[in-house]
Amino acid sequence: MSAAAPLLLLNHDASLHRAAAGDHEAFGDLIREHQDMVFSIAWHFLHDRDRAEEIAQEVFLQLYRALGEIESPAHLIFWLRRVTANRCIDESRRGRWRIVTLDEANDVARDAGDTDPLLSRKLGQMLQRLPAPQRLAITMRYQEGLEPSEIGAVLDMPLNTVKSHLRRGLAALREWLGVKP
Amino acid sequence: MNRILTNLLLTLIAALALPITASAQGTRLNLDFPDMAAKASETVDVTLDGAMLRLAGRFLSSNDPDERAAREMINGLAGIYVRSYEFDHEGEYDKSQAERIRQQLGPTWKKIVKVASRTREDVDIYADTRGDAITGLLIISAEPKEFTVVNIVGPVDLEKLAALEGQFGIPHIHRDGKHKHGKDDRND
Amino acid sequence: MNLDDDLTRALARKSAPDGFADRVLSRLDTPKTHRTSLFTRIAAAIVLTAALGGLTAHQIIEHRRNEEGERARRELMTALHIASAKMRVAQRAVAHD
Repeated sequence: MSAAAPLLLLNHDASLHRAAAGDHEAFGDLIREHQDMVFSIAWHFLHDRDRAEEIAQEVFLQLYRALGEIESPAHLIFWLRRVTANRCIDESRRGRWRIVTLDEANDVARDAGDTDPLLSRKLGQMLQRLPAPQRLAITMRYQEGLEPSEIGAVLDMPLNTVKSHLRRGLAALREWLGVKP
Repeated sequence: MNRILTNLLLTLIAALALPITASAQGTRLNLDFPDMAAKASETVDVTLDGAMLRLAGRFLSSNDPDERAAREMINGLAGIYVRSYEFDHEGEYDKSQAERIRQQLGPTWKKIVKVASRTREDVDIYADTRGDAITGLLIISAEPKEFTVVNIVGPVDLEKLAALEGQFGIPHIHRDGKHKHGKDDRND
Repeated sequence: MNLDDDLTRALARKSAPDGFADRVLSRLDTPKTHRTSLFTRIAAAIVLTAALGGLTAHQIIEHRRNEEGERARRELMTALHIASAKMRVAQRAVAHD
C-alpha cells in the first residue's frame, strides 16, 4: 500500500463523517464518487435510462437517511450495491416492461466509448431476457468484477446459488448468440 | 422416426385443448440421489407440494408478466420437484442413475420426447396420461457436467411451460442481428 | 468470440446523467415523502409492538408466513425456469429433425 493510500482512506472516512453530520457538500462528494456505479447497475438491469436514474436517485436518498449506519468506505460500497440490487428487483416486479429501442441503447453504449457498440447493445438486450437473479449476478460479476462469494454477500444468496445463476445465465447467453461453450 | 416423434408431441399438445379433470392427479416420484448430491459442486433442490405452491401463488406479482404466467401454470398442480446437480468435471456422475427414476414409471407414463446427443445434452420427457389428460410430467436432462430432474404433479400445459422463458415482451434477437417480436425464436 | 471479454465491455460502467448529484441534493431540501413497502410497515409495526411488550402470536406467525411465502415464490420461479429451459431444448431438437 502506498503512503498516499492511508491519507486517501482518511479523506473518505472524513467525508462520510461530515455527510453523516449533515454536510450536504460532503454528501454531494459521496454521490459523485459512486453515482456511476449505482446508475450502471440499475441501467444494465433495466435498460431504461429514466427508470435507472429514478432508482439511482432513490438509492442515494435512502443512503442519506442511513448514513449513521455506514461504518467505512468499503461498507458504503457494499451497502450501495446491495440496496441498488434490491431496488432493481422491486422495480422488475412492478412489471413495467417495454420494448427497448435501438436509439436508447445506442445513447448509453456510445457514452462508454464502446469499441463494439453493436455487440454490446445485443448483449445488453439479451441480458433483459434473463431472470432477474441471473441478470444481477452477471452484472455484479462483469460490471463490478466481484467474485461469486462477494456477489453472494451483496445479494444475500448462498455461494452455490450465485454460481448456479452465473452458469445458467452465461449458458443462455451463449445459446442465444450461437457461441460454443 | 423424427416425424413420428414430432407428430406424437403435436398430438399430445393438441390433447391439452380437451378439458382436464382436475381430480385425476399424477404421482410424485422419488428424486433422491444422495450420491450425486455428495459429489456435486452445486445443487438446486426445490420441493413444493400443493400447499407450498398455493402459498407461493399468493406472493406472485400480478404486474410481472413472468409471474402472471407462473400463476397460470401452477393452477391445479399438486407439486413441483426439481433436483439439479452440477459437477466440476465430466464423468463425475453415473448417467445410469436416471434408470432409478424410469423404473418408477407405471403404465400410464408415456415417453413423449427423447433427445440424444453424443456431446451435448440428452433430454427425456415423459408424461403421465389419464385418457386424454396429462396428469404429470417428468424431465430428465443429462449434460456432461450437469444432471437435472424435474417432476411436476398435476395438469401441465406443455406449450405454456416451454414458452415461459420467452414471456418478457421484448424483441428476441436472432443471430443474424434481425429483430422479431414474438414468444419464441426457433432460429437454430 | 470471447463472451467473458465481451460481457466485461458490454457491462462497463456508464456515466450517470449530467447533473445527477445536483438533482439528488435538491431533493434533500424538499419534504421527504416516504414510500415504504407494505412489508416494511408490517415489520416496523411488529418491532414497535414488541417494544411495547405486546407482540401477539398472530403477528409473529404473520411475519414468518410472509418470509416463507417469499421463499416459496423464489423457489417456484427457479423451478419453472429450469423446467422451461429443458422443454425448449427438446422442442428445438424435435423441430430440427
